[in-house]
Amino acid sequence: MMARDRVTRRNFLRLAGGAAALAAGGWRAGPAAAQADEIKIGALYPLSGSLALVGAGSKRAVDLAVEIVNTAHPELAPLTLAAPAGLPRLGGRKIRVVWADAKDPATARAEAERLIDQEKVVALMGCYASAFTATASLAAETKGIPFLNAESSSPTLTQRGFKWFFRTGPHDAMFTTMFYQMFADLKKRGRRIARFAILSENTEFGATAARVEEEMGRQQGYQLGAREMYTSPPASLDAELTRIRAANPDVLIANGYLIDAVMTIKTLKTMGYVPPALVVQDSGYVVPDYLKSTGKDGWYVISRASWALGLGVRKPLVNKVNDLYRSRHNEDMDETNARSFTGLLTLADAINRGGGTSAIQILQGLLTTNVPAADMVMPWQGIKFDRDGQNMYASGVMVQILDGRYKVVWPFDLAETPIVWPAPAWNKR
Amino acid sequence: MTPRAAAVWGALVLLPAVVHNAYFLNGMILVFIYGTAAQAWNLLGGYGGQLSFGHVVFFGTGAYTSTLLLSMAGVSPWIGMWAGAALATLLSFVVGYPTFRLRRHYFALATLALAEMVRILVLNWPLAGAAVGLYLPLRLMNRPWAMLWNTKPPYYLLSLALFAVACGLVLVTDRTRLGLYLRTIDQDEDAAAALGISGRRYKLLAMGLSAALTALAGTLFAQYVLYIDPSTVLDPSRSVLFAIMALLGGRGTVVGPAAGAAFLTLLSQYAGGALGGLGRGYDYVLYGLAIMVVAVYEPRGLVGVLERLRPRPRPLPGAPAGAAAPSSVPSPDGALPPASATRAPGDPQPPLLEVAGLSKRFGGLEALRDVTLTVRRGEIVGVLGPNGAGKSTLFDCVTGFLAPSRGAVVLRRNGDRRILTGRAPFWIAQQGLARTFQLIRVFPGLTALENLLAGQEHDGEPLLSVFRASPPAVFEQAGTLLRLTGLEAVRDTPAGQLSYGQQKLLGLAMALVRRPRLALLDEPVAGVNLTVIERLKDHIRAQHAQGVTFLIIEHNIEVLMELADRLYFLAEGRVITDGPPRAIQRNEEVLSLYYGR
Amino acid sequence: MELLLTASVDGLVMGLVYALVSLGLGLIWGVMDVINFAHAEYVMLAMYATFFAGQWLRLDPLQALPLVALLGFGAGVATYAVLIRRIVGASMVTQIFATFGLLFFLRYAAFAVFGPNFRGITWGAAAGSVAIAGIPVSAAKVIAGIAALATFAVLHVFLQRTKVGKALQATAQNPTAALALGIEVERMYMLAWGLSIATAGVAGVFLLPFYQVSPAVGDAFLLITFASVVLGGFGSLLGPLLGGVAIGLIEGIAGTMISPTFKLVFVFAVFLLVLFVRPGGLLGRDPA
Repeated sequence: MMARDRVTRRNFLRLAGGAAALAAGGWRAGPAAAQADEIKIGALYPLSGSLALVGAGSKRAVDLAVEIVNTAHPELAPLTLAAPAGLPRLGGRKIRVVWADAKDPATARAEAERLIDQEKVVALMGCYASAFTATASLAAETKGIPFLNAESSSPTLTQRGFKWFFRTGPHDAMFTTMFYQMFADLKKRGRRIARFAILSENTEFGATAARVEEEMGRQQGYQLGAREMYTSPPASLDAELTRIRAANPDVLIANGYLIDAVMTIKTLKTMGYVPPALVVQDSGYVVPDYLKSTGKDGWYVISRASWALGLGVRKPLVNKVNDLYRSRHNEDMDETNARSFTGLLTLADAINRGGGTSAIQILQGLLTTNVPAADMVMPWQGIKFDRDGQNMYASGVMVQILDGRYKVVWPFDLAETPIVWPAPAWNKR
Repeated sequence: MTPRAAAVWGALVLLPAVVHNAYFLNGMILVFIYGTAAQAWNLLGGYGGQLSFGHVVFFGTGAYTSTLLLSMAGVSPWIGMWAGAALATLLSFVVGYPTFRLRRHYFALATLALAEMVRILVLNWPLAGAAVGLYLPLRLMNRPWAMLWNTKPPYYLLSLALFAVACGLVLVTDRTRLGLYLRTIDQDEDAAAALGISGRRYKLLAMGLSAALTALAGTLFAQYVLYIDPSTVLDPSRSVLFAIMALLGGRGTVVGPAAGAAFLTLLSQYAGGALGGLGRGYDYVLYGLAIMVVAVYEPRGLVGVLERLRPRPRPLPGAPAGAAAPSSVPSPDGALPPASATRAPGDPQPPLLEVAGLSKRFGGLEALRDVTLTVRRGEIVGVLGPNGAGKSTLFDCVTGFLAPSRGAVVLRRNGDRRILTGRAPFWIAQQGLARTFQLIRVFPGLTALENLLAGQEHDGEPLLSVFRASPPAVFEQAGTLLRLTGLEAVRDTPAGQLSYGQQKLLGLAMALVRRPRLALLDEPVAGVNLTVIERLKDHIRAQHAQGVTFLIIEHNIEVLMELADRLYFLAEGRVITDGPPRAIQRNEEVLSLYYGR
Repeated sequence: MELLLTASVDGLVMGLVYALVSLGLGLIWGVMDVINFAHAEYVMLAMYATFFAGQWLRLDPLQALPLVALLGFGAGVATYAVLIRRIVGASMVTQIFATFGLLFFLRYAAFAVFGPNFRGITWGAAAGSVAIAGIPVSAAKVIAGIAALATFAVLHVFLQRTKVGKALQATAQNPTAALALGIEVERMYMLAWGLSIATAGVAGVFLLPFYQVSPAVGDAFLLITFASVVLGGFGSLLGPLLGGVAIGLIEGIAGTMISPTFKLVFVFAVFLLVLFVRPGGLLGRDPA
């Protein structure tokens, strides 16, 4: 039966090809050639696809952090591991990051496994998008390898009871807590904030955030006027914003990506409506293209930020690091890759204090992490992991877009300029 | 199974014992899971010709159903996966049933719309985890009843098994009547209906199997990846992926989708960084180009290309051993009236077909006006008339291709009356009516033999029997007809490559394979040379001797004179007159209407 | 009540935009029975063309319009010459997957060349809003709506009043007869494609001022344009127009009044309903 021959031939070739690849130690060039004493850390970020830009930004920051660790930068002290070259407690050994592309959750996991099994990394970090982090860290957990996450904000990641998962950055609930703390502060100063509305995109990011925003709002006695979810990118937000305006909220909380953000502003302007305050979970509103697309219309938006360049006003270290980054890449750091940057330093620090490269040692190092506020570019009070692996001091600041820049406006003691609330109407700008 | 095939499958089974590279095993697991979905797509889109662009909806249904049942009700995925498959099948019918009667674009779009709707709904459904998705309960790790393991080999073997089932199903389809019928429906659904093949029935069968299989793949995917959300298991680009795997590999073949799945998955895993890096998507540009090239030049994909390079004869659809020996006269089907070789003239025969007051309007045009005619059992009745008289319209109304505006068509069968008016063509055909078309309709992609096999008796054919090859009696019958019509030499040639005359003969033979009660022939000798005319006449006479009644439209007066017992003359949609051929020939009205004298 | 009015006005204007995007699709479908799955990708390309005309040639959309429309016409003719003429009269399946491959090719070529970023423009003349029935609507959208109506009108006049237009109609109705009458069917098909993509060009030009472009933008429009043509029915220009407006209204009203989250679900549900009940659409021609 002739067709059968083809079955066998095709599959046979496939098999042969696979076996050959195997024999060669994998289709890619074999395990990245390592210097004898380099310590390999795996980094899994989206390097292709729609999140490629973000991944590229994190890569630049992480690579800079690696350089700072490996070479002596006494001028950046007291930044973690800046002063010495390499890891002092390990005899000055250097670290090396092996990069992999986290394209989707299944691939992220496969890549994590590859990094662990073939590249023999001692620890992993990544992946920005919570869905990718979820599966990649699963691989690390099953294999008993430490996984450090710096940028994913889904609260569920540290609610899984994992032993090897650590997160330095804040999660959505912590950010949202900030919102309400700020509202409370503002009410004390005489602002009227009683009713709120939510406009959110509905993937993992938006949906989780919206849920937390709503729960917290209700708990603290605010009234929910409207809650509009949409699929990003939206063809139009007319319907949603019309309903929101009808609800007359004192503050509109928005979670959206770039195109949503731009469309929100443009639609609001067309409607001639501006809510007293537009408070957002960064994302689309903090990407450089946002201001390029909206210009002055996009001002007065208040966003949470885990980091802002304006912190440099009170913390010179921030400016020093940013200047170094800027000299290499001709742009400022942003709050996403600032977290990635800090994440790598934290991991390196843990490896250093753990005294060795075995998984247990690194785990020990992470569990005993206690980085003081002065040693980082973040506005946190420190880095110390609780029982779930979450940095208990992770927090953020609120920035407002004023004069075309993101200025820290809350907490009031870190603020560089007074907050503008309510936002001025369209015809008064 | 050939020894070589067994060796390959055997090697695949033993692979995990030898190869421990987890990354490679991961790739193979995904090849098997995606390959299953690609084969499932192939069943519907390759054989059935219904291209689904929303197939991921079944994948996601399987994944979500079994996962929800497991995490919420502790139901084992071994059971949950069947629930997912059932739900997916149901969903597929919701979309398929209404759109199958429309052109394929509608089905393609309807599946796309369905997939998007389901995705948006699930995205906003908190119970299903909405956007956050669902984690599989890790606390059940390493419990086989929960289909969760810590290592790759169990997943590998399970997905290999599913893939084998999928390939097996496609193989069975390819070699048995199901594949034959699907391909007739794909190539010419109306001609298939005229043979008694219900397009809807088999498309739904293919659809259901396809959806169920894809759902099973979805469950397995969930169990393996341990986390699902709408962006991974309900993502539209995955629908495209399944389709591309089948299309590029070769749709409508057994090996094509398997090859396509292996190629694309392994390529993406090992070389994806090179091509797809930087978000630039160069790989998809190539896929797009490849699809266009394949569409234009070689719709059978990679397999088609290879076949051209090294042509092999298609295996006969399940030909039983020694089927070639022809018997002199095929034994009649039990329900047919006994063959009467001679018929005394003047014997009153019971009426077989009664057409009463049939009228058909198309907007302002009245194509048929109050047509009444009767065909008695055992007769050969002719219908003639000038062009535009409504003859073919009459046939279409009788055989169900058009619904009459008024009037009735009744078939008398073994004493009882069956009302044919307004029924579906395939049903009418199954009552024992066969027809040919004015413009020849054969299945161009099927061989002459396969065309004849398609014409076998479909009345009362049990659904499950289509998973077997055609019975030997049918092969015999087909073989005989091939000889009688002189087409034996082109038995394995695709009908599309036959000459006009050969196709005419084939068309006639197809209609008569199953020995219908009544054969309606629309201009059977039009456009062919004298030799072929003689052959056709002989064939009609031979069948008539076996008890087939004929109603024949013809312009060729000599042929009608020779063959027909009675003639009806139609003009401007009305029956002008009827009677024996000699009388019609001399009728004044006929002469003036026909020849303008 | 005001909510309903706002929703209706928004929906109407957006519907006109959908109609414009669907026009080209309906034209080809009607003339040569080919369904161009890649139609929305040409709109995307036209948007990029408009963007770059602004960047490099400093042309505002109105100035760029003739250029982009001409480019669109050329692209349509080229597509016909290279790909489509090889599949005219081929099986449905071949047609479907040829235009599908085209979709892929165009979209990912755009990814490769332009990158995944969104790009938009601000058109000074179209900033601000216009009051329609007391409801403020973005001026850019209103202009797009007017452009849509104008395009339909122009095309209508062309088809009904010019010799070439009538030849095109004849070809649509019966290519064989047209051929017998001495009409060069091949040229008519080329013309149809040129016109179709030219209208896609017009749509793109007027979309950009209020809708940012990225290579994936065709996605959003794909199903909506099909729904418009199916809903409106084919056989005349009125089909895509009515269909587009209907879809816009459904999306706007159902979206605003019931739930914006599910507005696409409503659109698709209506689309499926129409397919099931009356596939010929509102103006119905039997498509089976």
